[in-house]
Amino acid sequence: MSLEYWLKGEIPQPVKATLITDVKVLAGKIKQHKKPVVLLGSELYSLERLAGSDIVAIVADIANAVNADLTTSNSGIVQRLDSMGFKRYRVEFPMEFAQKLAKHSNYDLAMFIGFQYHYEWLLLNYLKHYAYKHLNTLSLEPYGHPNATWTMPSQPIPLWYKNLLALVEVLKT
Amino acid sequence: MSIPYSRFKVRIDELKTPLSEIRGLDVSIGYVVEEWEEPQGPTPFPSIATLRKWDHILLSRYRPLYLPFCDLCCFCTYGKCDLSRERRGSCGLGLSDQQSRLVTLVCSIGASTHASHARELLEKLAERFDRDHSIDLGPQVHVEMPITRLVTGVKPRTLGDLEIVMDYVERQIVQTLASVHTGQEGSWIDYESKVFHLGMLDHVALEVADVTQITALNFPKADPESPLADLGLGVIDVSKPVILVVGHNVIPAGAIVDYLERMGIRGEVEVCGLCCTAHEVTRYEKKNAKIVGPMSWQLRFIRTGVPDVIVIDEQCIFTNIVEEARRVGAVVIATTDKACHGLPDKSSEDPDKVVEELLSGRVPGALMLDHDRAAEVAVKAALKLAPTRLRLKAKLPLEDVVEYAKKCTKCRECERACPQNLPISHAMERASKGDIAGLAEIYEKCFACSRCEHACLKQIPILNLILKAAEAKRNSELFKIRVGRGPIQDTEIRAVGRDIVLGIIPGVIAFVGCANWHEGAVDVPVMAREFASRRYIVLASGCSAMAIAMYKNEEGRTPYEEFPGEFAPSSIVNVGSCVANSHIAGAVIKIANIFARLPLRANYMEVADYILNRIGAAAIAWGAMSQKAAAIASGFWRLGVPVIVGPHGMKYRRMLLGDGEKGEAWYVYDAKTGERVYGGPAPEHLFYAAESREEAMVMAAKLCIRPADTPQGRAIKLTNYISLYKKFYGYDKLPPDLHLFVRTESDIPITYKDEVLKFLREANWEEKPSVSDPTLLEEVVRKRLAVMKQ
Ligand code: SF4
Ligand code: SF4
Ligand code: SF4
Repeated sequence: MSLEYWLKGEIPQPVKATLITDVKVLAGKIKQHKKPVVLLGSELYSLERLAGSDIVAIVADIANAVNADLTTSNSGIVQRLDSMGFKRYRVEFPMEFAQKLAKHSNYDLAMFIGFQYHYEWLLLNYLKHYAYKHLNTLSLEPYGHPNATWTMPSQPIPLWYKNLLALVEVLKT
Repeated sequence: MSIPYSRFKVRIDELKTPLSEIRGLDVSIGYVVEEWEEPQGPTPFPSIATLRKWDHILLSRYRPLYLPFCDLCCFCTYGKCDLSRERRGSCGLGLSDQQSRLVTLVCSIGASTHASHARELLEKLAERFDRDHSIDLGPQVHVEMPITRLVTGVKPRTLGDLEIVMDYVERQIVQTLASVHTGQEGSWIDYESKVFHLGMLDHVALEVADVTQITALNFPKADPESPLADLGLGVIDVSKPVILVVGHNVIPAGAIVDYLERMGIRGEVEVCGLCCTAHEVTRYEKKNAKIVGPMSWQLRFIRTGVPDVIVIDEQCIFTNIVEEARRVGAVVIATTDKACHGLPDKSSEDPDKVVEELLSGRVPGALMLDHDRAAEVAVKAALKLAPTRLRLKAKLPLEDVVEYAKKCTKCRECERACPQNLPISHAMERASKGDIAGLAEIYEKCFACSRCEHACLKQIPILNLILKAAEAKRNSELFKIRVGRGPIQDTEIRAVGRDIVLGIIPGVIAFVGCANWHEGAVDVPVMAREFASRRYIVLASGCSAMAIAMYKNEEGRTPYEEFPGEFAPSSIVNVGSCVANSHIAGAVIKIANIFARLPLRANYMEVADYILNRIGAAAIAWGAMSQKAAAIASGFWRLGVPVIVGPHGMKYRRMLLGDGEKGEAWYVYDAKTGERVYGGPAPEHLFYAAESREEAMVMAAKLCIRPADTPQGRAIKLTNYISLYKKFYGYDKLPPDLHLFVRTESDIPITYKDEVLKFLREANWEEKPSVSDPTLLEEVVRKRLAVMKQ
């Protein structure tokens, strides 16, 4: 695992994420929250190709373990969630949803997975500055994200995949 | 000169009309414009504050959603200041103010660049063709230069008349840029108003630039059947000497074509272009000249070694181009003082001597500010260099790719530098075993920036490997683009204006802007074809117009061969380069003027209010990258046209989002009664970054909804909104905000009636009256009521 954030050009800002390298600590942070939501991005497919496995199903497991809602704007992910009979998801456009998270929602934790790096980087920075009083954020990407409240570290895809599986197991216990 | 020009000052309060409440503002340049049949409008030559009221109305609905790239400010020596969360800088500035200030700066750069481009074209072409050269956009265009007329109140007749327009634009840009200085503007909303102002000025400059070149250089004049040109990496005849022109300013490229014609050797030399100069040279020549591709094809093409001479003019040039050219034995000729690239000035030297120096390799290129001489040098150098460079055009052997890939240590430094976060190390691993398919896949999304190469500690020429792996794909890039037609005819506007305003044509969607596409170029033609197939009018410009060409249907036809080029439903209309974006803005303005008969002259607020409330138009700048693109978008926002960008567009630092659930934000006046009525969130956003093309398409259909839609029109728009949503998200689903857009049951599309009624019941929907004459301006209400009383 690398303790650095991912893209070289992304210099961390004065308020920056806490990097969590221990899956148990990560699970503990998630469980602290009453109303979590997971945002799934369109790049999840690239991650699945690289990991050679079904990440949507793992995210659904995470959501089931902590009663989290899922949101996505990706048509393929919607079809996959439908076909696995997962009900607690909504089609939400990330930008509109970020606005809702800051203004209208009662979610207290937003977890991100499968987004383009810079896209998530900027959404997280919006939430960091404009929704920090009521919302924590967590990046579950294989790429360290400095603008989240907490982030998994930058790590090779196989290791990240193993950590995700371990996270599911810890959350279920 | 048809516009009397005097130096005395006019005060706005002397120009008061029923629409104007603005008092005491000096028209700072002081023009007396020609008497034209239309009386002067309320806001000639608007200064920053003139349209501030309109901006604040827009911004009270469409609030910035800030996406700071940097939480600090380092503008002055008090800094760095940490602006995180609610902290403030030493000068008192907060994070939101700073983001809007940065957008102001970005748009100042964009507007200055277009203004400088316009001024240069105007000066050079007015000198060559005479200042009294008439502005002529063809027999079907009588309302020429609608933006200029709307903003300044000037109705230009000759090239010389455009000088006062540019004087105004330049002065206003300087005035607005000054607001960015430390301790100047202090509120985000007024910075955003300045952003709109810069956007409006930018549109005027675009129009001056394009009308000048259409008029002087006889580009296609509103021609729906402008010729088809070749486009793609595969269309270049590599057996000939190749001159590549890069940038936006047509004058050097035009001089090359003219020189070749004069010498009688046009057929012996390939002239091809990248970025907007490519558009312009095909508009100029209308035959022979070819388009290589959008701006991100620069290194893709140069690295092949095909171009012998690279002539650069201005904007969007790869700034390390001299080094890149040197690596493949090509030479560079720079033609503007805005982009000299460290090259020696050879402008006044004998062209034959310059050619000799270039061939000797003593200099990697030359700065040639005299464009006729630059053309002569380019042609002579290409003819002499080409036979000696055949060796350099040879291709990288496949074995070398595998050998290079074997050197890769999988450190992933390249990926951490890649703006697309592409899986290079994974592809290298496959390539080291002889499978180059992974590298070929990367080609589709790679925009050839070469950042990965700079990061690689093993000095692997990663981009070259990607290009080699995609060789077959590159060679199959053989497409057709319809040459940029310029403006929309008045007759075309008359034919469709009513149906656009009623909503019977579901919308006008413009694909504009640069080539920073997350998923590669393919998203743009897929979206354009979808909307054209749904009876939208599809417009295109710049690199997006090129991207649309880079697609073939089952019959092997490109979208420009598949769809007609007239401004009509189910069409795809290439207006031309970046500066031709003015015709897209011009078309929506002309709908207000020609169809709705709104006065055009210096009547900005009323026309923008009309567009916002009635004309279902949206722009998709899917790969927007530059500061110019930011300025163009800002011009659309002030005019009431929403803009959607792709995921990289987030980096413009803030979006302008409405909040559909915030009921009070969506009230309008019914101009017929003066009552405040609910108009709905239409359009819901003014600036929006979509994550995927599916999202962008659904959003574009939604953003074409307007308060003034007739029930029939609203039903047609909702049909598209719903069916696109269903297509992507499942046939059992409906857009969750649908209740916000159904006013009465007659708005519901017949096809979805039962399903929608059930949904509405569950959403506790209540009927709302629809409003036929919506406006956000009290002045428009007063004017309408005054007319009704008469
Ligand atoms: S301009 Fe203001 S916020 Fe920026 S560095 Fe100076 S004092 Fe700090
Ligand atoms: S050249 Fe392509 S692969 Fe390399 S950093 Fe740029 S986009 Fe990424
Ligand atoms: S930076 Fe070079 S060595 Fe490292 S993974 Fe990329 S290509 Fe391989």
